[in-house]
Amino acid sequence: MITAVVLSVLLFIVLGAPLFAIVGVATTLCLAFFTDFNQFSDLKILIQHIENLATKQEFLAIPLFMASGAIMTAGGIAKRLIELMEAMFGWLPGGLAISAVAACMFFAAISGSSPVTLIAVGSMMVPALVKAKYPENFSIGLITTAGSLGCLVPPSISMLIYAISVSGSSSVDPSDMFLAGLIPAFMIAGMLAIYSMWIGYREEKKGIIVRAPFSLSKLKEKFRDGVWSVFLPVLVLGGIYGGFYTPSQAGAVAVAYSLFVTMWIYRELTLGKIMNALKESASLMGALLPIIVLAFGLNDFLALIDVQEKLMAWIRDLNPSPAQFMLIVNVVLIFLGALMDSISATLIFAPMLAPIASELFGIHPIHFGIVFVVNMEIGYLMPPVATNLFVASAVFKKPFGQVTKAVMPTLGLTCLALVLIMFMPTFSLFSLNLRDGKSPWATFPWEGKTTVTSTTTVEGEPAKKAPSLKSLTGKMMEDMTDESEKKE
Amino acid sequence: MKPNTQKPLDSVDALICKAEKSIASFLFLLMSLVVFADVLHRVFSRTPGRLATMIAPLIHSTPEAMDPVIDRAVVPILFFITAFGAILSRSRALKTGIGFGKATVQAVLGSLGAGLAIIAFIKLIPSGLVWSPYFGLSCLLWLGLLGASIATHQGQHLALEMGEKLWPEKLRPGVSKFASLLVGGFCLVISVLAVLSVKDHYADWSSGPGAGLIPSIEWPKWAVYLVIPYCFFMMGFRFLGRSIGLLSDAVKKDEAEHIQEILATEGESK
Repeated sequence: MITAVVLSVLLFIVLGAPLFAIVGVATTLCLAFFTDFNQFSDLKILIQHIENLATKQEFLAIPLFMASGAIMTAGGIAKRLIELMEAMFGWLPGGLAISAVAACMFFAAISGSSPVTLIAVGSMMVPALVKAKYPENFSIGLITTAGSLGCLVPPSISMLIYAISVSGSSSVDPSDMFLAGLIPAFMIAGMLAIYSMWIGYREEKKGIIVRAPFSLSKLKEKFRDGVWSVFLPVLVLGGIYGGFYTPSQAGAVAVAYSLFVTMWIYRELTLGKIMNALKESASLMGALLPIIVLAFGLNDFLALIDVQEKLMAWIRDLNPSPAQFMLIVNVVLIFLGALMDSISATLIFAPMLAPIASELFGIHPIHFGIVFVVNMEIGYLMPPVATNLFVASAVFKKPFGQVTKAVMPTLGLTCLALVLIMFMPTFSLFSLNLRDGKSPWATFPWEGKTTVTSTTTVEGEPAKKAPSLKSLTGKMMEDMTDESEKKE
Repeated sequence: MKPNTQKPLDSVDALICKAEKSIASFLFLLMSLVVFADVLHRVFSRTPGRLATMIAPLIHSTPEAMDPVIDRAVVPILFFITAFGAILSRSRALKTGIGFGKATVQAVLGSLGAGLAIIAFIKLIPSGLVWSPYFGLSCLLWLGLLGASIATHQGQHLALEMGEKLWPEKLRPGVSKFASLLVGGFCLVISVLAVLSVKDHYADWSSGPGAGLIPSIEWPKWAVYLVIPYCFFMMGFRFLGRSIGLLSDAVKKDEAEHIQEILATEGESK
């Protein structure tokens, strides 16, 4: 039976079938072969996962942030943002490159998408950097890496998907993830900025680059032009952490704000153009949705047959230290990120790994989430299946090999940041602990499991304790029994 | 890059896809605006307001005492500042060069209008749009699944590209057709299961008043879930159609090409 499932999945993979079909076939065959299903109609449980979409409010955030990103992107905010960042940072050594990193970071927060950031900012900034005599490979590598910051800068679709995908086994609030991602995002951006400064300083000393002087009047002017673009992340995050609305509702606020800014203030978009942008978002959402619902089916099946417990028992037998566990997980995640799309990897592997990290090694669920997302960010840059490398190669019209080579120094910096974030949980937990009135410092559980600190939700209520895997499986069985009783 | 030859069902499929896109984008907008209206209602009808709760401890007062001050002074001032800033920015963007006095008058009128609209909204619908999350989720189900059907039409489903690249160039079209056949078959299986599920929901709904309804909005579940068999049927139809030559292959664009098309709207608008 197992051979049949594995062979079917392999067949779909080698044929280049869409991911939703691969996940769906795996789920269907597993349910058919390894459970008590004895007739075709019993497989309706797969459909229940799709129907359940209409009951889970946390899902609303994904399309809403996608829509606001699409509207703002189509509404021409990239140019205003870049000009503002240039006025702010252009006078520093390597200032133009630092402006590019800052623009990528803000644009990622607005668009919520790494490839879109790379194209919107990169298509303007890479030619500008090359024209200003920055080395070409440096420019391409920097923008390609900074473009992938979108995973970490809130409101991030990757974080939302992580929070949703582990929601069955851990209590991870998307707003906690957003807050926790801020420092790591600034840290990676800071490292890229320092690297840019060094390159800028070096080239300046050689007399190749000329630095622009600081101009307060220019900064004021550009700030007036770009302030409405910069204000979106503030509105979203301020509203969530001020307790005005939930992350899902923040998505709707972001859409309304985007409509107001692009249609009324900047008058860049008409209703027709907005509908076109939304059509594209619907198609992107459509590419994600079947994977999400079918992956949930697969995850429930894996819980049903106690795969996580078996995996946990196997890891317990191996007896790695928490540090060794994290290193192995990172190698696996980078490998997976290099082979498959980041979102699919999150949907399939996060629910398996997150409970193990927290239950077996005492790693804070939010901290693990941030490490996971940074890995996914690296996945965007890791050949052979590196979305951002393909996009960069196409946009900058450079061979894939050159883009891969160009990205290596900045990819190295991101990996260094990953190691720091991984073993110094303070980076991801500092803001959460500060918000909750705890000591902001957090240490890595080098010795193994200690008590896992709980986080609080937006309303200030203590978060639910993560259910054990046993209870998760038990709950699923209960749900299924309830459902069948209801049917009878 | 256009398909070489038109296949028999291409125009029908294109027409269906166009309709799907229009419905999906409309639902996207509707869902966003309804959820936003609900947020507005919740924020402005909350007593004491969130702002009062935040500010009160800072000035050693109580949220209840602060609430009227916030409602009558702070909120109107915030509205005015936002409106004034927006009017000035709009004037800068359109290069109309509005005067300070005119901008102030417009901002006063604008903020007054917005304030009155919110008050009217809260008075007219005192209980708010409590149904909005379920409405939004039902829209999400429809637009997401219609989006999946559109993604099939446009060849935008995420795939492990390495799979297809394993094959020699010559064999790829055949491999792609075979993959489409299998995926189409899978989609049709899901579609049949979805029909069975809709039938169950219909039977439940017919069993008596109040049964088989989506909470809060009280729409029949079977009607909302109808999109599931439809979507998977269309996906199956498109994959199988390509496999047996009734439909042209999707014009596959790489991600960069696709995003650049989206960004082209920006260029057009300038």
